[in-house]
Amino acid sequence: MRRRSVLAALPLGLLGLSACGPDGGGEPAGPAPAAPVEHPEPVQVGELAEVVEYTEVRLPLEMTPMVVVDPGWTAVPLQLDGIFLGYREEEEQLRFLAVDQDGTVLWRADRPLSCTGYVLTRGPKKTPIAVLADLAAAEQEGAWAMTLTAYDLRTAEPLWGPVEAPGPQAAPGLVYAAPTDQAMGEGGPRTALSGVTGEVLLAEVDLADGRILGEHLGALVRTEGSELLASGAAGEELWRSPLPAGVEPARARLRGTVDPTTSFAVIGDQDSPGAVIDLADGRVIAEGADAVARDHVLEITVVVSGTTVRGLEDDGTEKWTHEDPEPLQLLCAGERLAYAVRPEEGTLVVLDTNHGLMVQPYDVDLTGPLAVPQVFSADTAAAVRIEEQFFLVTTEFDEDFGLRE
Amino acid sequence: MSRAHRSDPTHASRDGVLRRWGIPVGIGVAVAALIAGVFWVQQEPATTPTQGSGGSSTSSEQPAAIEHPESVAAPDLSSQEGRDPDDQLAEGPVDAPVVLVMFSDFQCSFCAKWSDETLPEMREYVERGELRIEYRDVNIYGEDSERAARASLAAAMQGEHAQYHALLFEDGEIRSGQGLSEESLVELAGQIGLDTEQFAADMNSEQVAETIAENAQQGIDLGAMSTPAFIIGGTPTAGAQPTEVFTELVDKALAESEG
Repeated sequence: MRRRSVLAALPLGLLGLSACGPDGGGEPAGPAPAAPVEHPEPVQVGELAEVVEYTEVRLPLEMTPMVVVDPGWTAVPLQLDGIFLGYREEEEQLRFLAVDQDGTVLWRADRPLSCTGYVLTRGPKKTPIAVLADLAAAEQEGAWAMTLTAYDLRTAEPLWGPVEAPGPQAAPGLVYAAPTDQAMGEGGPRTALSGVTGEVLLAEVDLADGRILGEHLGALVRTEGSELLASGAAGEELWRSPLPAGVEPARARLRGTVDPTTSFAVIGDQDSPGAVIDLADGRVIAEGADAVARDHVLEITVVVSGTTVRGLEDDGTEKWTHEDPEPLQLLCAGERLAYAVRPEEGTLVVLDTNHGLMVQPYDVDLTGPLAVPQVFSADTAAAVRIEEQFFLVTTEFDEDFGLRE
Repeated sequence: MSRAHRSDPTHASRDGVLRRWGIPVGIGVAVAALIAGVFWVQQEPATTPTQGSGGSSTSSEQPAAIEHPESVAAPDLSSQEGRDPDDQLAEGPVDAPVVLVMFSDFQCSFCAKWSDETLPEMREYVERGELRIEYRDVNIYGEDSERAARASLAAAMQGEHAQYHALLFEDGEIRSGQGLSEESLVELAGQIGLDTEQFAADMNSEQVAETIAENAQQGIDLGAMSTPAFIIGGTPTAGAQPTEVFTELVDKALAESEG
């Protein structure tokens, strides 16, 4: 098994630009979009990513027997169906790397440095797909237009595109909006694309009284008056329910990311806690929530609201609560533990999902930066962050584990 | 492959006791790790974390990037303080500003060392009314430890816990297996002038066994499977560290209690 040492972290130059270019959302404005890369087509790899020496990673103890690989990601990856997709920022381009949860690099694809926005969703026949942004020459001389191309997440087979993007990504999933002059990158009317074809599924301008909140695994979530509803790839209504109490329709939003292993999402507004909704069927999982995560090992749903963390059984029973001195930022949950950050104190809060007790899952005999889980697959592979690097704790047991000194 | 069915690896603790890192029952391996000889050894002060990367999903609705933490937050375990006026395994005022809960074992050499070297300094705080010490024997070394724990409570019932405790850890050493036999423990009680008949009866009483079992369970529930382990002012720490570490922790807790 090839092993190597952990290299020094790469500096990250660009922070969070939507899809491609500085007009995508946010500040400070970045550099002008880089030119398209010469070969944007994905390249099949099919090799195990470089294995990281166990002595160089300070993991939660539960993860220590597993093989850890370094795909080279420099930003937190996304995950769907046990495949993680993330990118590495290189000098002149981004290199996307799709890695199976067993550590196999499936494929790679290069994109312009400014095209950091990408989406994992479902395409034809519910296939998991990756939608990558790119740049193409626009009609206006010297300008670039943003395009989107969908690939089979496992095989990198092109499925649709390139199609011109309606604008930068504006909400979770395949939802885009043309930029406006508003502050904070607030876009104009939103447009949702179909993961099956790449065509426009729904445009906000066509809605009499509603807003597009996001797209998740093929389901389009939107408001209609004071109701919340989801429709499928063919426009069929999947479910409909009242908006969570206290959420104004005009300010409703999907908060944070949506966990593809559960489809649980927090729907609220900018200023107050929302409700956890299962986007698959519209069920209300919990009220009063800022963030949600799921531990698939103990089947506990972890809900954070300000300083309160709750562990919920499947029937909604509150198994435990934890009250923290600070409002917590939830990272993820998995393998019996939930991870959150105290932003003021700058520390990691780790709760066991069985009792809600704070625990110390790292061997404190070791020194060095913590490997902090960011994203779990349903099978408990995990992307972990170590300073500015992102490694993958695979589902593969290290056969040499018992021989370690 | 899911990791839900992985086999249990083991790892030797500082005390040479095998501890399980594998799939836990109940609180879990993470909590077992909590006191595995390294139970929240002093937290390094949190420094300003580095700026996180922007991530990939960056719509205007996405939350700001979460800063990368550099250390694990210690829990507030104040709820584990008994502060029971009837607790005979405690020293110091019930309403002392700071409580030190010690999870110990009478066959743990580091516990003996701590009792010999650090406990006298802790008692100075007790004498000033600033600290209450609550002794909790987890008896991880088995039957002899459990018997010694019952004996220490029997001595406490005659008002001589401190003296008897000191004898069990005389000169910072633990007693051998034979030294913890019932006969030896009763004999030891006689040496300090206790009513040995009463002592033996108490040591073997159901009430004493129940109390000792409850105390041990508290430690086990917290994952105190390696001793000594402590909760000082609600903050866990582990190991027989130098005395100044404990004085600093108590001083810090005292300062916090004063607001």
